[in-house]
Amino acid sequence: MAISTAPDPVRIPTASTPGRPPRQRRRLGRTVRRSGWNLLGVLVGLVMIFPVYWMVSSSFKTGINLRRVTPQWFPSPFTFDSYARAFAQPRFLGSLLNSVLVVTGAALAALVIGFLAALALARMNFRGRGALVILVIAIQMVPIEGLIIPMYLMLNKAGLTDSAFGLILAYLSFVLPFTVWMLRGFIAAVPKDLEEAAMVDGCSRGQAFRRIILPLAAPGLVATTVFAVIQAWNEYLFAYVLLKKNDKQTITVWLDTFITTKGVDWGALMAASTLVALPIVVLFALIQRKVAAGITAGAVKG
Amino acid sequence: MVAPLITVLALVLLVPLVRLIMVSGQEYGLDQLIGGKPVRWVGLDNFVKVLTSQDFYDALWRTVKFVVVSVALTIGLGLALAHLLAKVSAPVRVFLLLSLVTVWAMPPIIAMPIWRWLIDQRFGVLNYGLYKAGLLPTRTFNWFAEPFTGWMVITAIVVWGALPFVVISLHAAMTAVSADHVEAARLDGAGAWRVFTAVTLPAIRSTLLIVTTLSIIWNYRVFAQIWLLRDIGANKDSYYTLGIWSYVESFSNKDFGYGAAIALVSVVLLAALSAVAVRHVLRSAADENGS
Repeated sequence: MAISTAPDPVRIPTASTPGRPPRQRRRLGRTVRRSGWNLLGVLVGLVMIFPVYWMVSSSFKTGINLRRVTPQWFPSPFTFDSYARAFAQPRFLGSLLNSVLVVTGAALAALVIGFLAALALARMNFRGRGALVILVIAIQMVPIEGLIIPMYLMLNKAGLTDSAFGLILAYLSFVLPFTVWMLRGFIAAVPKDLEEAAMVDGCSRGQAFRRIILPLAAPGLVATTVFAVIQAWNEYLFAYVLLKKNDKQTITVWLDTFITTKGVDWGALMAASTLVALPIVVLFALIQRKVAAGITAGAVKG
Repeated sequence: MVAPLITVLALVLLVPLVRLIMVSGQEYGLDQLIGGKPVRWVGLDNFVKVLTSQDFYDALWRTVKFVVVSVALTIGLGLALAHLLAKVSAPVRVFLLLSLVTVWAMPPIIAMPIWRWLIDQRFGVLNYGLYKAGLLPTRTFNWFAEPFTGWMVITAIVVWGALPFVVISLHAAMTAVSADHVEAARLDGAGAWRVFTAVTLPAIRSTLLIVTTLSIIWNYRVFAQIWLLRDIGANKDSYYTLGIWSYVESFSNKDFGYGAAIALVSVVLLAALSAVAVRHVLRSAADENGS
């Protein structure tokens, strides 16, 4: 932790100290300390990102270079062979497509249902509103291991295991509460005055919604969609239990079976992992600020 | 407008929960699942079996230890890193944030192959580095030979994945702390630690509480990180948390009634474990609705 005993002279306001030498010394001390922090910061950043770097760089190495006694720090020669091998794996592409299908379905459903509900929760007064908000929060405490048993038994009875529709239903159990929570925060953050002003100026409720809330909440809407997509894409346990047929499995389950059944082709595994992570990293980078705000905002502010 | 939400939540959460409670009072095995035999109600037998079993207390203790250690590490390191973010100059901050966001974006499932590759007995770069640094006795160190080192790996993976969210949330809360207050405290002669405890900490308290609550819940529910790694080594049941144990009883041993009872006990315990923090979150939500 950062415990420096000397009071930090960073911003002593106004130029009231005419003597030059002490000031320069101070500035020097500050520069040294700052460089120390910077060095630490760079180190921490490197340590954090190293596993990711290692995945990506391993995916571009040749087989021999992967199995060196002394690790090769940069891939040279640089090769796409591992990617070719990953794509050549049985069911890799099919699993990717299954994932895309399920993720799209779950995110769309969650967004439509969630947006309607969030609008009502953030903007309308009705009986049981408070209770519903609390329910939406409390429901997120239900662990997936608790749900997986009855979900499996029920979908099994309904003949919906090994089905994308069944999996989408299961995914809604964790995507939907989060969607409502985040959207509600974003909608509530749009000042009510704006909407009321628009209505005073003669807008109908619908118009006020379309012209005021929708544009202002749009970034939040996008962020929530992306977040729903990420959650569904990353899910493993439901897919693992509910999909038993190989040709139905999603990409996360495929990765798992690839590790356990194929022995280990580390190059292809790292290439496949990179491919699975890539879209998520890109999406994530776009919305990162919104997500951090959304998760906490849902609870602390209206 | 809330009707679809309520319908779907009832369908995918409420009904399954009721069903879970029902199954926990039944003998429900392979015969019932595919044999079409009628279920047999056994009352609280499954719960008695859970609560009198040594396995339960072992799994509970393992879960609690893991949650406490991993959450303490996550929050402690998270505070330290959030503080660090405020100290470094802009380019370093951007680099640090970029690296955190990249890690945050990694699907948890991807962490498995990555870390397995890092600690591979023959070619793992982590083993290589630690061996060269004199921290490992051999290059071919098997982390999963002993539960203790195995749990170290699992904890490292979970903390590594959980840190970015915590750091970024805390950093956001810290930057919102008024510079004037910090300045005033400094002029009054407060040292860095005092400024932190007297000014920063109260200001980030609610964020800290939420982040801690979420960390507790998330780490309690960790499944894949354990499930997918523990098959590396022997002594598998040293890695049974309540979640894993419930899964094994239900889906491997096909004793759904017993598994459901374990899951229910686990849910109740989680609620108790996070009760204080959850109550705070709920209250702030309720306050805001009352106004």
